[in-house]
Amino acid sequence: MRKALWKKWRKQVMSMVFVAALGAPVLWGQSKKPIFLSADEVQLAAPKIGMDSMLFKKSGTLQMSTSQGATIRYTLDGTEVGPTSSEYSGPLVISHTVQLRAMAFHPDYKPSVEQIVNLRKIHSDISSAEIEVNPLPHENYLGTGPKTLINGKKGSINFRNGHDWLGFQTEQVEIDLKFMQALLLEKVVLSVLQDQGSWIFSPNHISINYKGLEIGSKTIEDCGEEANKKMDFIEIPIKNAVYDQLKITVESLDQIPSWHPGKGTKPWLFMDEILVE
Amino acid sequence: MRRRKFVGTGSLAALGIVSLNAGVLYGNWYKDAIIGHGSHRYKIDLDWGKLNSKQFPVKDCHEMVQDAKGRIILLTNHTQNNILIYDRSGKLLDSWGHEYPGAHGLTLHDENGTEFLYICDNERHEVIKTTLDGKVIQIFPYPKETGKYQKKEEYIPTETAIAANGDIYVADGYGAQYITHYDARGNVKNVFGGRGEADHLFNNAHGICIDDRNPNDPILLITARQQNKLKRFALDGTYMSTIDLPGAYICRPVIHNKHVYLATIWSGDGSEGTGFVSILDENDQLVSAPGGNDPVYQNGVLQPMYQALTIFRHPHDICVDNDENLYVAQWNSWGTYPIKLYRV
Repeated sequence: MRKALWKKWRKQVMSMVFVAALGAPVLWGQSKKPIFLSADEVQLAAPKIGMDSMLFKKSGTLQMSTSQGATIRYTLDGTEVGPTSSEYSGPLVISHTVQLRAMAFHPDYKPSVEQIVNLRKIHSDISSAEIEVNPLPHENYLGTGPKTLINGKKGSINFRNGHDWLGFQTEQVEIDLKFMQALLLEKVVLSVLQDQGSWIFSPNHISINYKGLEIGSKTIEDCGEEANKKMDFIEIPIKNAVYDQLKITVESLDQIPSWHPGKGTKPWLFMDEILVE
Repeated sequence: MRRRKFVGTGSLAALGIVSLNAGVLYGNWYKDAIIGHGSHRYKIDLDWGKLNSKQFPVKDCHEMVQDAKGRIILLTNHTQNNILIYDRSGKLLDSWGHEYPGAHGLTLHDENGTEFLYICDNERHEVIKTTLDGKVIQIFPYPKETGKYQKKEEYIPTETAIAANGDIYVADGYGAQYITHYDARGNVKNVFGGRGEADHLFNNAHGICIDDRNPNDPILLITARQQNKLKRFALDGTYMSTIDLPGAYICRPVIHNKHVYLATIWSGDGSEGTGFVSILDENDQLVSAPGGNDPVYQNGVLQPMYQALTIFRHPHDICVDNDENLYVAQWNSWGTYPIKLYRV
């Protein structure tokens, strides 16, 4: 902030000097003249990321684009992107679960925010499992029914497009899964959306039960803190064993926190996929 | 985006020279941002039209038009002042209107030397014709006589277009997607369109205008916003052709000289916080996209557009003044006033 003020002051003084040097009349406050936005105050939009599928069985191809004159830099090891990270030059083939982090840079404009995308390999196909969701999602975000959560298809970050997201505005959601055959499992992964600008928050707590016994749980401590829009995979470790059924209970925050325009109201919860590993 | 106050200088020319010199000598510190492409490039004034938000608040800044006196008229859905009237420098000249809670569409029409406004109200489910100082002349309720509507709630008009003979076209962009065609006295002459994916149907028939660039053969331009398409229709409602603008969620077409200007409320995959301005030339080519990426055509097909710079947040309408500067009214942008773009 101090730096910004100093820059602004410097810019004002320099402009006055130039105007005086050029002999142009300085008519203080006589009429309102426009003050143009300077390039270094403008931020680049985040790179556009395209992937044939964010969930893949063998591999997926990833493409990124940005505006002319800008470069994209990225990491695949979960580390923060900086001006010296790898420069993107063409499509990438992804064959493992990775976190892609990417930013756009330009000589004139402020770098973009960091775009974070998780790309995940599907380990077990559970699309034939029986699934019950209670309560049912809101009528505007029904997806293609409860099976949406196990169809191996990822929704896009624009949740209004397609039928891949289930949206809820309730305190908790219970999901009952009955597998066609018992599976040896150590982890449940829940794919959720965080889009606080659209009143959508990450869940606060997830617990996994097997026949009434809790076998794993996770609390997302920072789900009420202000954060960028992203799709996230939440991993919940469970007691390593063979299971033929699971009950997943997903709890939302009680209310939207006070820093948000929607404070005090019930946040939305959006889920598009459940994976087991 | 931070808004700044700055010293006033004597003339625009002086300001131009200042920024040029400063840019050369001091690198990027003082370089004015210039957005857009080719012949349509602009500098940005974020402070234009900014008012005391307690005295003259705005909610969504939905649409803007310029009258014969050169005044800029803004329509907002804030009922403390649905209409704000500015001069081109952004000084407030007048305000009126408390009874338009769903104020959405604003069209100006010169009727034999007298100008009138047509306001589409989403919540009142009707179109209201007024004088420039707010006197109601005529109300067009939901067009029951078309047989397409059982109750007024099914009709959520978003835009009007007025032909040279006084005929009125109303786009029901948030309702059943029909275009209702009235004569100048308000009698229904025709109804066409409706919801659907076929060429002659719409998904979000949000904006409509008379394209009179060929004065001997005026036609209608109608947006299908959710489909990222601009559709041409004859004045009798016959479908003609479609201009595809992938990645551009275009609100309403505005004709100025040979170009079509379209506020683009979302862009790319339609994500929140996006948008830019689309400018088409007389050959239907996207020639400039201020705030968007560089328009690229491959084999005559526009490649998907997306936001390049985070300047705009959901542009909802463009007004082009007689200096070819643009005013960008924005929806759902935290109650901010319009942004002015100066053509360079």
